[in-house]
Amino acid sequence: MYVEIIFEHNEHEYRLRRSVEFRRTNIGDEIPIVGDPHLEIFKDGHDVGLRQEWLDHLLPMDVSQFFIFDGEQIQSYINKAATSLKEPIEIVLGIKELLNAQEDVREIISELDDERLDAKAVQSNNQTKLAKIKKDLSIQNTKLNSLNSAIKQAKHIEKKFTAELNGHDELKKLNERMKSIEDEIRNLEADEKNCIKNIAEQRGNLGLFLLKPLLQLVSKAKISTEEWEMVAAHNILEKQRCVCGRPLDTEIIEVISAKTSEKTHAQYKMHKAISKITTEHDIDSRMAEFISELQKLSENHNETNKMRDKMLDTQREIDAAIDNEFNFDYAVTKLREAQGDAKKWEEDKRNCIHRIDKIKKRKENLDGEIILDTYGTRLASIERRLVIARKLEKAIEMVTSDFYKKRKPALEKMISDVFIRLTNNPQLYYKIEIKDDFSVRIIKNDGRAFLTTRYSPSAGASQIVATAIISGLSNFATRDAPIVIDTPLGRLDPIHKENVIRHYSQMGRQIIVLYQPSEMVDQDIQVINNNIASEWVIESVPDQPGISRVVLARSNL
Amino acid sequence: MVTVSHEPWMIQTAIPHIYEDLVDVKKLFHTQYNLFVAGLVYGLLLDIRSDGKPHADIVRINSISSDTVKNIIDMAYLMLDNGRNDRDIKAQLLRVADGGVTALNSIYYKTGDLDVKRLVAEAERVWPTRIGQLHNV
Repeated sequence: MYVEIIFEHNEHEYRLRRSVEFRRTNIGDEIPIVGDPHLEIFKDGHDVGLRQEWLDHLLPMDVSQFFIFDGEQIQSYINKAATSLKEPIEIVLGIKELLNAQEDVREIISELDDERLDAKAVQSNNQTKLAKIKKDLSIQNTKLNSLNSAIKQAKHIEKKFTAELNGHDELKKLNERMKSIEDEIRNLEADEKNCIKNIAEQRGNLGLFLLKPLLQLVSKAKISTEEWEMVAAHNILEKQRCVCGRPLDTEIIEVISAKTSEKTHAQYKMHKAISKITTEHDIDSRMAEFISELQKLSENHNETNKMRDKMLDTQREIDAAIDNEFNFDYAVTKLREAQGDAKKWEEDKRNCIHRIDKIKKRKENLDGEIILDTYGTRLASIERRLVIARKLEKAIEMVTSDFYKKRKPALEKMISDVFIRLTNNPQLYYKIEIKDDFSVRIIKNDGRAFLTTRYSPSAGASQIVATAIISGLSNFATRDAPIVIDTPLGRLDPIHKENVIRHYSQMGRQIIVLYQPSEMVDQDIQVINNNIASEWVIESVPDQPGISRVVLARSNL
Repeated sequence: MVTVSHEPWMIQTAIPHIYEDLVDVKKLFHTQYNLFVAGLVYGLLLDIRSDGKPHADIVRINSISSDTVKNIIDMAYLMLDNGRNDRDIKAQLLRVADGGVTALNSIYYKTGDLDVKRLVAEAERVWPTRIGQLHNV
């Protein structure tokens, strides 16, 4: 089901169709609507896709009331003028926009107030953060100083024990040297022992050595013929053979034996012994060997003495290097502890410096923010905008007031003119006055003022005032829109009715009057006959009591 | 030719303590018979002999392995062989040896050493005068 309305605007024909879906029901049952009403707008016969927003722009809801004269509702403009007229009057006077602007500015002020509170909170928060950062920085700097001291102390301990251990290394080297000397002395002593043993052995030849000069004397002595014969005789006798090798006869042996004696025999043996010693034993060689061994022993002895001196020197160096209080294991433990501590604290120091850098960075950022805040970027900007907004609010307020004061007389005049035209006794009334509280008063020519609800006991008179007010407001409004008038004439006397009907043609370019046949008869319509474009009749459809149709009764187009 | 060194003769000394000191303690000689021979030649050289009666055994002469020692003992025996009986000659030989050993011991304790070079020099100096007093040479 749909309803369409067609109107002209800016030389274009617009057709508005509002439709709604519903389910078919039995007659007499409530018709269930499916979904929301649907609006379609056609411009010059084409769906232009415009919707409610366009319509609102064209005729705002607040203003539309001045273009629909509902006779059943119109009385409320009189009975509750102060409340029901306030907004319409503001709208038609153009004050509404100013008030809207004022409201917008107030909202902006409210938002800026909130922002300012936030900014102040941020600033305060930043100061708190800054204080915390400074405190953190101080803690970290103290920690860094402590770590530097601890590292310095650990390095000092490390250096001390390293030096002590290096000293100990020197001692170890000295001990090794001493051991080497001792080994060498031991070797020399072993050599000496061997040498002494050899000498002792060769000294066994002392008898031979002492004999040597004697043997030399004997060997140099010339052997006499007698001695030679004695030797030869003993040789022959000993071998029982001739010098030529032939065996000797007994007779010859006896002759030779006679030539020898015991003395000569002993001499012969001595000769033999000397000869044997001289030939079989190389006395000179043994002597040289012995002397060499003695020399060797002497050299060995000297070398041993040298080494012993060296050993004494080394021992003195060792004594000098030895610190009786030194404890190697303790030194190593302490050194390792110091190295471990230094390493750990260096790591802590790096972390600490890293933290300090981060804190400093945060501080720099925060300082920047605080400086910016101090020199009025955010908070100051908000403050500036607040000042401007408040000035604007005040300005709008002043402008609104001025505007109202300047335009209200024109509105009053327009309403008054309509009222004077519509009333059946125009000589009695001077004008309609709108008070600042939006109450409406009728000023009579004698100067007396009456509230619209009291100036006349006639309901029709009140309706005339209401019609005048709305018509005035409609004329005062800057918008050009069709005016719909619904059952406006029911309570009016004939003069008022004719005045109102005449006034219809002056209310706007397009007036739609919805009336009951009893409200406007042909005679009444005749008054505005030249201004009527078309007449329509809403008829019931036979046998379909729930359906009506609008039928064109007359057209002057 | 039969010599004294081939006999099972036990050479003895009257001064065994000197032998023990110089050989076993001071290790100046490898064996006691080496000291014996050195003392024997030195005793012959200087014509000195001990008054003490040899009683301590040193070694049986024929068990000595060194021919040098044996030859020297044989020579010394001949040098002392003036026609007396063998027993006297041997007794004389032992006393000469003890005399020489005693002299060497004195030298050692006086000089702290047995200076062989000095002793040989002494021998070279003395033998020419001494040779005429020896038998069978």
